[in-house]
Amino acid sequence: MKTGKAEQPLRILLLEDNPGDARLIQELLKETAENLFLVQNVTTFAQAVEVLASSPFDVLLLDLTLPDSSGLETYRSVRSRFPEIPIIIFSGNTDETTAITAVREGAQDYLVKGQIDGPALVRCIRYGIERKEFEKKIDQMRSQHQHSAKMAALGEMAGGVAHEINTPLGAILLTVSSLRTMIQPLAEAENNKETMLQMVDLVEQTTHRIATIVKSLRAFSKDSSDTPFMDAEVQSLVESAISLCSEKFGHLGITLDLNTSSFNGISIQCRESEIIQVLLSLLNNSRDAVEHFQEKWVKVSCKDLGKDVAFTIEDSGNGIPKEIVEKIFNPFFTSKDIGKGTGLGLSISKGIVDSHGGSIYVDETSKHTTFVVRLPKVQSITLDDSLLKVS
Amino acid sequence: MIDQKKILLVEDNDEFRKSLKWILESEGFLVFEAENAEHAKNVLNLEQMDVVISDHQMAGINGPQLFSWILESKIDVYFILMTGLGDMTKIKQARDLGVHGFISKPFSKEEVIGSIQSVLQRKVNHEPLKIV
Repeated sequence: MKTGKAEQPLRILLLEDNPGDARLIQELLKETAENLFLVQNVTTFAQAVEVLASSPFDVLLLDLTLPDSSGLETYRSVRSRFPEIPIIIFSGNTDETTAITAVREGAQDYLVKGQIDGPALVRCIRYGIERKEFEKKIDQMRSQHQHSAKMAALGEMAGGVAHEINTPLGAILLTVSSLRTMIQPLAEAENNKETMLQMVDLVEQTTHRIATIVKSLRAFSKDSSDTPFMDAEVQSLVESAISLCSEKFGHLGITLDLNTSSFNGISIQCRESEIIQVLLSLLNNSRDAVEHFQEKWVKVSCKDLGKDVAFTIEDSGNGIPKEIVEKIFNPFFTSKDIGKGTGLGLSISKGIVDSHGGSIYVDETSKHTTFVVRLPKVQSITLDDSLLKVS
Repeated sequence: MIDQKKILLVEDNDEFRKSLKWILESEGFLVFEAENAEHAKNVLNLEQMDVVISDHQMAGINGPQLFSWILESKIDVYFILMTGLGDMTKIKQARDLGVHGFISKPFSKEEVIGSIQSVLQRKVNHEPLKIV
């Protein structure tokens, strides 16, 4: 349990329309533990929504029967709008079963009016908050588990696809090579050597491009939770991520600017597939952010900082609002339209970067939206350590 | 050509085998084909080859197993294994097994010719077949 939090007064929102009940609760809290709680009382559902949306609270004490909402509906409406806040229900003798249903649906606890004493109320609030924290952690672990299961399944499929595709691709490449040799004299005689050879080049380049996509897809999706850190060139990491999204950038008219000279020869010890995931996630975020802008570009560069390497992904957006910036790495936080983002990309990226001993942050000094991924070049963790690691 | 080198291609994909055959023939090699490892064994029992180029993944006996059979049978031939691109695990296993060369699909003409020439060069230098 978090001991640090107990020293700060807990912010309680009391949604209770009966003035007598509201006062009783406040008195109980005051006499049991003075200075421990900051209580704000609101009397309607509408007020509660307004207050919860604008200021942070640690817990909501909720009377189910209100002037503008009643019964289970009250609980459900709050829960769906504010899934993060722990809720403790106040019920009367007559609606205890409703309160129990609310607990089954995720309320932290319930108290029956008239049977509440101070210590029980305080304990209920404290436990409620802690239980909610655990719930959040479990949710986070579950979604990360689902994510890695998805990646593993994708990896297996990509591996199969890679094998099936590489052989026919190989046949095309080799045959094009043979063709080139054969048409060389013919093309000269026909006086259209340029065009014929350009055609052959086109087939060859396109085939290479397919091969790169297949390879990147595979590197990207490989389940790497127990893979040791290996040397990887910064350039190849960036190129793999790019090859998985450049097509879409092109369609949307977004300019992708790679400062390739900045990658020059730098390599880092990492789990390749994980770092590609991080870069791809940032690139996709940039793409979604600038797609409707007049000016659309994304720049990727890399800086050698001695012991560390910093990847910078900058886009033509205007930066991230201050009030959001600290939340963006939280699981399930998203500012994208429904169906577009899961709110997991950045939190998973942060998990990956942390596991590499690096950091990921927004460069707030930039006038555009700029993400920085800083990673150490050398990992101290050995193969044995990484196998022992409990994920 | 007196010194025409003999290459056995072991590959279950017809198109790929054919395309590689064209390339190798255009470079002056005498090319034998096998569509699986069993077929390859028959060819190797009948004919002395200089180089075997084999796919890794094939129905029945796979590439590395074919190589093990070649070692056990003490057949004097160089062995190049073809794997999928980026398949580091397979490449590492093949290297541990001692294959003389490996090449990732898809590859260019230059890569495959380079790979063959480099194993043939080892033959000229009388390097041992098995790297331990």
